[in-house]
Amino acid sequence: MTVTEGCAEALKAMQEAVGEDVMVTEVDAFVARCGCSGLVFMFRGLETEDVSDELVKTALKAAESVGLKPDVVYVRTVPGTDVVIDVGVRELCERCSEEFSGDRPRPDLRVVWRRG
Amino acid sequence: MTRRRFWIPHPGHLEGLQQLLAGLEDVLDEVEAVYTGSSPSHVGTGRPNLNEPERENLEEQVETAHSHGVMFDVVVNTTCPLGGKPTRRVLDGFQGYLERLEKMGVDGVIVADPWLLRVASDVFDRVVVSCLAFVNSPEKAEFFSDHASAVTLDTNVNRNLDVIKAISKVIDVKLIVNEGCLKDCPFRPFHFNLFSHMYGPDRTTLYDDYYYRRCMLERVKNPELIIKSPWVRPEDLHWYDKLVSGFKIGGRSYEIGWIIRAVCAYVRGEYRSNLLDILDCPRELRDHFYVDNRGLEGAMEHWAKRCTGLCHECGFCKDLARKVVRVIEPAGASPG
Ligand SMILES: [Zn+2]
Repeated sequence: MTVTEGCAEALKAMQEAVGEDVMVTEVDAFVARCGCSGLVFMFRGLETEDVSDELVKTALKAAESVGLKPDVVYVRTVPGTDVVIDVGVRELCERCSEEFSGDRPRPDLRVVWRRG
Repeated sequence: MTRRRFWIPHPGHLEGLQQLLAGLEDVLDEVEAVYTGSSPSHVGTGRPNLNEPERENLEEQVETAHSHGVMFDVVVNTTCPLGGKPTRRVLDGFQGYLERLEKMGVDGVIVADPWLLRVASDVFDRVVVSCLAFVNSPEKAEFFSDHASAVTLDTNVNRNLDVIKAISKVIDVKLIVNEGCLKDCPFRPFHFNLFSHMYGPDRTTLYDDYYYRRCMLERVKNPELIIKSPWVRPEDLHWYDKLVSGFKIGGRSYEIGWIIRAVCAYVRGEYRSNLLDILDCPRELRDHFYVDNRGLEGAMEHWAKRCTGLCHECGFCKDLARKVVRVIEPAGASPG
């Protein structure tokens, strides 16, 4: 499976998981300079309270299908609001795993799943 | 040894503060205060604000800090408070906001604008001049000394101990130690002015930031600038013990885990890895460069005693950069 095929499948699965009131606009695969890698799902119309177990499961499954071993799933909000900009599934580098500690590492970031 | 007092960043959410104080339990005796950004609905500040403090139980946060013996300060260091409307009425609006903070138990504020400083000093006893007022001489410090309780130094004089000594005779001095900005940065006032608008009531939407890109690019092209930045290593704080009343650690838009790492390094006076890990600098910089902190041992001796600031005649920082700055090879996931 190519990267775009993997992202396309992930987008479809996520759109089904969140239903018709929310739009999944984009799924991006990334490798960061620090060593982190992952997938990012971008949304329109999603709020923090809408982040369900099913959404998290779908994100994890999509990440695993493109060969990632996820360490965290996190939600990034528009600062000072409950509006979700994106949900990231991330395989963390050593330094970022130290910095990503706690349920809310930054005011705009909420960790919703962590490798047990 | 003199007991050091640290002033530490707080991103602004209650859970974050609880995690921060728990993570720093062993060193809290040396933490004088936490500081966090003001509410962008009322006034901008010199750093990205990733929350809206008024939604974040500010009163409970203040109580939490106090119950750990730590003061709680709010940064109101916009460089453009008047927003093109230079009237007393605009300032009165700020006064109401500051009074609300004071009622919530906030201990002090950090202010850059001299007019706002006067308003703040009517409300708070603890008013610290921000580094964005660029206090770099005793003469300049005099202007602020009637209304402020302390000044945060212009970081450009961080390594000039004679100037710091002279300023400390005028007013209490706070030193930002993990400064990651360029020395004599040409972008600094303009970049912070942009921040003041972006993270203030104007809520300017911005997807690109020229100054940020250039700030990175200059150092990629010329890594000696990393060495010239006016940071002070954790190991070198003793040079300042008799000159300053507090050490400020920058980084209120970073993650809690990062803040704990940086604060611990400075309180313990030691860091054994990449110095950029604990500097308040663009994140991309530490992904690109490794600066071996141990290799910088002794450099402060040169800066304190022999640095003239005339870099083109000296070459000390250039030589040091060749020895201690290494480019990190891109990491990332290995292909399938
Ligand atoms: Zn990373």
